[in-house]
Amino acid sequence: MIEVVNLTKRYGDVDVLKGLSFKVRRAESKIILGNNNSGKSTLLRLLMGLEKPEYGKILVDGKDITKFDEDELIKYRKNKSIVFQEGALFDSLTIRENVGFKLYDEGWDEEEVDEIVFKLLQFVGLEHTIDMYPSELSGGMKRRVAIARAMAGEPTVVFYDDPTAGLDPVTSRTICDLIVKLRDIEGVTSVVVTHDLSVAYFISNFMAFIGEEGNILLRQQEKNMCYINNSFLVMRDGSVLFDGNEMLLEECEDPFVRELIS
Amino acid sequence: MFIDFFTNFFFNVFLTVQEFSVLSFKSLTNLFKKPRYIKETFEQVDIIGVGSLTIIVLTGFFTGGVLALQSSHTLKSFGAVGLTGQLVSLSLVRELGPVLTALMLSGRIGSGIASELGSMVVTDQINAMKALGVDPSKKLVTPRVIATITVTPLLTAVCDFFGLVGGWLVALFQLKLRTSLFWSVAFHSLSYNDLVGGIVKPFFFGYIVATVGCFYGLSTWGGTKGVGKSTTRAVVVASIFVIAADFFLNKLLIELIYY
Repeated sequence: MIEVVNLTKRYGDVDVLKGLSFKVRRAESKIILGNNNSGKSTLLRLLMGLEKPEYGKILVDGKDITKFDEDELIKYRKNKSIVFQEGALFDSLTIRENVGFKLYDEGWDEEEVDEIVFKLLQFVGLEHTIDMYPSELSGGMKRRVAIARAMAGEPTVVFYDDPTAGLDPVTSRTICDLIVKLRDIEGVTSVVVTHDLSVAYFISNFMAFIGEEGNILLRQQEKNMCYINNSFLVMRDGSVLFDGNEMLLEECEDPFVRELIS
Repeated sequence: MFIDFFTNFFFNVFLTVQEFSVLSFKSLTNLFKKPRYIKETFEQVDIIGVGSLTIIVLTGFFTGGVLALQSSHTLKSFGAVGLTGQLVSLSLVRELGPVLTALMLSGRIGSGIASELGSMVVTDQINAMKALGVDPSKKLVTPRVIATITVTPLLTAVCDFFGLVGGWLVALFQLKLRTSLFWSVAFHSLSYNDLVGGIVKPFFFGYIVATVGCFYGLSTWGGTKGVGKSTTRAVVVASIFVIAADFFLNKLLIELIYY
């Protein structure tokens, strides 16, 4: 479980995050909505331990990661992953080396890594790109490779920083499918930052399951079911305006939230 | 206002020195921690060492030639043109070989490291690496530092040798000196201490060039413009550090080995 307590982050004289507090349960999707410059991406970097806050705590399974030194953070990140807005693939490495980066570094056997990389690329539908370089892929493909890379090493938590920004609806849908599959099939906790309301509702309303033939299928959840493993967090100018499930979000009377979800 | 400016200025300078010291220290202490990136280190040896050979050969060759040309005029007035080999070899081995090699490397390697790491910073690749549980100081900095420390003395030796070749060709064709005279004077004038001094200094210079390049690369901010600024700063700072370090190392070496 992740618990954020009174988190404050400052750049120069500007408070980017102002005393944020919320919780993310295990195997839950926390969908973070908000306007530009509301501190959503900064929050993800803090949760990943890539930056330190000025005040506040980030308790992950009871341990405050803001107190960790760099060596402890490296260990903390071993079972966490982040998908950056632009993918952040290593441009001098092939897709195989990108996806297997963590495994190669941990000293896995090369054949074993190859097998895992192929399966992960198959999962995102890009197995044919295995020997290509990131520069040869489109924006959407890069984002899917980034998701495959994030899945290597079987993370328990994945942070998504606007994973569908600037993508066409078909590619956006593919990425949403992947997020839902990871949550429901692999039990991965996810924190998804997005501007796209349709993405937020898709992740909230759909569930993945294994069909009779062993293939992964998606279906729309019953309305009350989608409250179990999803919650929304609405941010504005570094503060939390709303924290709760989809039903409460729809009933929220805050003018900014109403405008955002309308 | 005035006091605030100076307080901020000194605070920033102090912070930069602290961060540079930590990175430089970590680049060496990482050697004693797993994982060790041996393959990456050899790749860097190839990029830095083999890749820099051409410019080092040309630098050494023409510097040696110029030294022979310039010194012959002065030596002629004393009737000592025969000592051209001595002047060329002593100048190159003691001073010009190590310093020119380091300056050429700061231009080629320091800038290359700073721009490569800077580009990785602005495209979030460094954060992605950290997020994948890999320490960039181990994976990127230590291999570059070790490779540069290793190849700089070797490149200095190459620079010295081709400098002597340049000087010899000028002596042979321009000054009409005999080959045997040039080389015997050049070799016999060199003492063991000269060789030690000429090889010790490049280790420090290599360390300076690589750590400064890595530091400015990893401190990049502000997009592609920021990468350009980091690259320029890396070259300028590394060049100044090399020249300043040369002064202090000479002072130290004179105290330790010449007396």
